[in-house]
Amino acid sequence: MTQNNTLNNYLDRLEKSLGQISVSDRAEIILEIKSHIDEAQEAGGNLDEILSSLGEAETVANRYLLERGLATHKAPKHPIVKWLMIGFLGTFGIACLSLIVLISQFTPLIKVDEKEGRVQILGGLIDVQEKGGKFKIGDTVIEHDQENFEFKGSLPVNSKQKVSMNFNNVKADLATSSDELFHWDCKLDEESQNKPVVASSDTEIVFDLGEVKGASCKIEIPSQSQSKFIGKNGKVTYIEPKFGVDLELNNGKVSFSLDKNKGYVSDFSITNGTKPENLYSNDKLGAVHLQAKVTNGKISVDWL
Amino acid sequence: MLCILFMDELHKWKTQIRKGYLELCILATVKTNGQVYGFDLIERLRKHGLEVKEGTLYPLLNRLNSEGLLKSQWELRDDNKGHPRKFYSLTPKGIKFFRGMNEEFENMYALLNADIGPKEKLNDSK
Repeated sequence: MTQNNTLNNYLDRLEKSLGQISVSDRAEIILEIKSHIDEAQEAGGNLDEILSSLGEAETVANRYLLERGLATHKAPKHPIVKWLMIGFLGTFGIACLSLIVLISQFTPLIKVDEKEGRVQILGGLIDVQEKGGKFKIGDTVIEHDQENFEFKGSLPVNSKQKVSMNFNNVKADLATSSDELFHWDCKLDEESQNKPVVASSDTEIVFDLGEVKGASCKIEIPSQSQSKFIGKNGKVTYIEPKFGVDLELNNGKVSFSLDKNKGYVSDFSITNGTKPENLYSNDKLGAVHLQAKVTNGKISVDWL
Repeated sequence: MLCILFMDELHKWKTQIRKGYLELCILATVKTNGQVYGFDLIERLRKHGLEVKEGTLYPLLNRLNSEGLLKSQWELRDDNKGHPRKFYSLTPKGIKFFRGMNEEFENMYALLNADIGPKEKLNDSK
């Protein structure tokens, strides 16, 4: 744009913005501003600087209107400000639209179905099913393959061997096996680097779950055998044991489900908790010996 | 934060005060010089340390003219070349108005220098 065009454009904008003022007054204003610009140029000023110093044509016009007590126009924004605002509003609009779409897609955020044991997050995008151990993200299904976490086996027990078990955070159901084998069937909550360890010696079978947390085990021990269990944080249930029981548990519960036709001799000891009366049998040789020492917990006995 | 608020309030106050004394300064300059044109007026005010935007001065001159405090006339330069200039001079009403403004300003100045002025108040607060 040439200097003349720039000047004419400025004066045109000024003239238009002075619309409410009479034609003759407008002409006089334009003439005076033009005279000022000429004067400033003669004094060595650059047109762009002179116009910049005067201010936007619409802003100058507004000052004239204000001085005359007339309503003003909205001063135009600087082109950069205008484009920045368009950019900002555009981005904001797109962000809002995306948010609305996301919310509509992922509503309800969390839905819990206690009956079905199911939790749906973000409108079903993440679907956790307790039964069957299914975990779904979008179309990807991750199945909690329980067999992969099963630790199962058996070992023969001779009359000289004692079955020992160490554990931490375990739920164990112990029963009498129908053969001369020590059976174990454990389900582990998570695939851990630490696996249960089973070791057999002349005098002892050691079943070590000490480093495996969160296991749930069904264990069977031959009758007439002796067992020694030491652990913490657990729930241990003995169902009609026909083997000698020696248990030490820190934090947890021990339950005995006993046969009322069978003789038992017990030595229950508890620190911080409750325990039943000890059991005595006249047939001390034929009786099953139950020894349980619990700290912080409970010992209970049920008769079947 | 308090400092920013303080500066903002001070700026508003200065703007209000400036509005009042800008008119007085314009009338005083016109009176002293008999007649002046816009560009010349801006230069003279600048020389005395009063920066006025052209976009502020011309609308103000326009109002003072329409209120009858100033009168204006277009004149060609001595060499009859180039653009014409719009000269402003005081009308009798403008002279009277200027005297009234000047008197008020002197009264205010005297008040500020009197015992109840800010200097005394500042001393009291020490």
